[in-house]
Amino acid sequence: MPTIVSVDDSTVPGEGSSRLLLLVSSDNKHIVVEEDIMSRSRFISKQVEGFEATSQRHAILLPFSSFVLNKVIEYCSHYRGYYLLEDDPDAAPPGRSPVREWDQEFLDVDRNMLLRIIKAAHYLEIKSLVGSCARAIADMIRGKTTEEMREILGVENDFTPEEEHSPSSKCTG
Amino acid sequence: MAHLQLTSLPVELIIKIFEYLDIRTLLGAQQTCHTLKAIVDDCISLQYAIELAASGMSDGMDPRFATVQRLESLKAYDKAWKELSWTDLSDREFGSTDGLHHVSGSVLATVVDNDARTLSLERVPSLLRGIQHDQWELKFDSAIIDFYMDSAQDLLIIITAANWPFNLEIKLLSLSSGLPHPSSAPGEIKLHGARPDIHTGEICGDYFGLGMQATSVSNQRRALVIWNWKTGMKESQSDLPRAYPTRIEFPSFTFLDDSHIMILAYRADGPFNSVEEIQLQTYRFRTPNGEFSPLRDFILPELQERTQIMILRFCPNHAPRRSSGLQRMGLYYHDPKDRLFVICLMVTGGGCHESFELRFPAQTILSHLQSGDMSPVLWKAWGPSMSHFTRHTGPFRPQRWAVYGMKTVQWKNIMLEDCVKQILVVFDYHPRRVARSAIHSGDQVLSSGDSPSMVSIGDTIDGRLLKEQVKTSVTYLYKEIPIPNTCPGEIVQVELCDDGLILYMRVLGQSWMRETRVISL
Repeated sequence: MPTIVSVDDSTVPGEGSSRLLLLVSSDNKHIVVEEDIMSRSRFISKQVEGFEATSQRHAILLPFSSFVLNKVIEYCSHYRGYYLLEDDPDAAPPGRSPVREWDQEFLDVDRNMLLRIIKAAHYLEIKSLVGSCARAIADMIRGKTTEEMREILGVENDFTPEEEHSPSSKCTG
Repeated sequence: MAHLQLTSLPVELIIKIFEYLDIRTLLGAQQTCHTLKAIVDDCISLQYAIELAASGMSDGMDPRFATVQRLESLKAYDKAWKELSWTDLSDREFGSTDGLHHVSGSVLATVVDNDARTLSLERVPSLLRGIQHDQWELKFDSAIIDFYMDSAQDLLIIITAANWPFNLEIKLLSLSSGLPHPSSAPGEIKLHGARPDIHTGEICGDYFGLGMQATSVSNQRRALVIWNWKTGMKESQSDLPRAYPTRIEFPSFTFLDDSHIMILAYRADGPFNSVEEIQLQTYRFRTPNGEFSPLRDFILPELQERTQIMILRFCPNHAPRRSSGLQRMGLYYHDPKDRLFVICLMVTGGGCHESFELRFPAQTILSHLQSGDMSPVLWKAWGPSMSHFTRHTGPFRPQRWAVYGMKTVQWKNIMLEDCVKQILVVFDYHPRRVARSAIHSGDQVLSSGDSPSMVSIGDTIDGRLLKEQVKTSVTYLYKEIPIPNTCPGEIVQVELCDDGLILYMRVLGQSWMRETRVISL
């Protein structure tokens, strides 16, 4: 059972800068981050709306490690104040995220990390980051053989040899 | 940290990732394990993407219809193309056979004969693609000499003889309204100098090419000009031929893609003017100096000595060349990237003549242009494995068979119960449709007469006027369609369009033609 940590409103500094949020990762690390950095996350925004309604602020517990959380915060800090179409809840969702160079470099990590980031981004409802991760994972397997894909994605082959050679499994392209 | 597997992600994330994959990779990924296979099989959007790719179509992004409706409609459309059954046998009076007549996308256009100042247009409806029937007329001040259109860009290029016989005027109009095209350069393109006797044109994306030839004794100029119709700027111009004694069989050029053209030429020599070599020359246009920059020549099969050429030309392919046009008609549309080129060759020698056709997809040529090597490409290096060389059997009037996208149709006579019957023959060279057909013929009984048959062993052509036997091995789909008994008469012309085949027949004893629709999908 996680502990609820209260955050006193008086801890929020003034000077027009944004309020602070306390995020708690699954490895029980406490991370303080400015609210408007995290406003890209629909999940966090909804939590904050809840705070306003109840005038109660508390720590937000997240089901992933601080290592992953820090990476997501780095992403959100980079795009702080930027408009990204995919994250606009009022805009019609584009089919695919556009290629962003910074994201490509940012997501140049191993498969494990990439899968953790996309899971976290999905939980936090950051559509732009989900899109960029999905593109990055797709790029890892593009043009690879089925056997290579199993290796890259960590997938076990559970087909029988007959199933593998069935005609419907052949490529159309 | 424990190792994470892709399959540990929520299904919607896996789908999201798969939406970024090309179809080949997606189908490979589907084969990695049962879980991923089930995800792909159950996901409508991925199934639709696979179906689009396999049938050579692109999504039209019409927001009125859900993905599941598009998928169902696309499957029905595919099936209808395989069966090619006659659905609309209504007769329409069609005037004389000589009227100028073009097809683009699903639009048919005919110059009305009596004054040649009216263009009659019709959009062929498609129930499955959600395209409405439409019919309209455009009227002009002066007679139409020729016209070209691209229905995907709503573009109509009209050539009129305002100042006959000296100038040609080229007007850039909207196909739907007849008003100046909103994306075109203001005014019209004027061609000065003597009016050419022969011309031929083609639209490719932003470019319009016009080949011209004057044949008077004093002026035998042959020229090819390419404009960017959006800016009005001339991209390239050249007087042909570039190298004596190569003879350019002109006018016959075609755009290979947005920056290359192909021209047919041959070298003839000796007392009999016998052909030494037939070349398909490639050039880059859009060059800094505004001239065509020669690339590689592709050599066609060799002919016997003392053989002369009667016809050497490209058959026009009327499929629009661009997908990002103003009008993506319908729920989905034919992907313009894959394109078939057809060369007609008619030769004579030793008192006989023979007709051949050479068909190849754009990729056959493009794959040889990427290396930067400039040496000629011999027939054995490009032809046998990547083209289809065949004897032409139908009546040899090039305007009377049709090429559209990756398909071509012609007709031939067969003997059936002691009488001559005409049948249509449709060839489809689309690599993914061919591949899919190969898969399906694996699970089905081969004698399902409705589906096209696949020809994978290739063709071998012996010709008296060919120096040696020509073998080609590209795989294609082949389907014969009999003309129904309710259509007596003689085939005059056949057209392929986005949504079917249209047959023009002359009824015996009548001066007019009738138009018959085969599949109006």
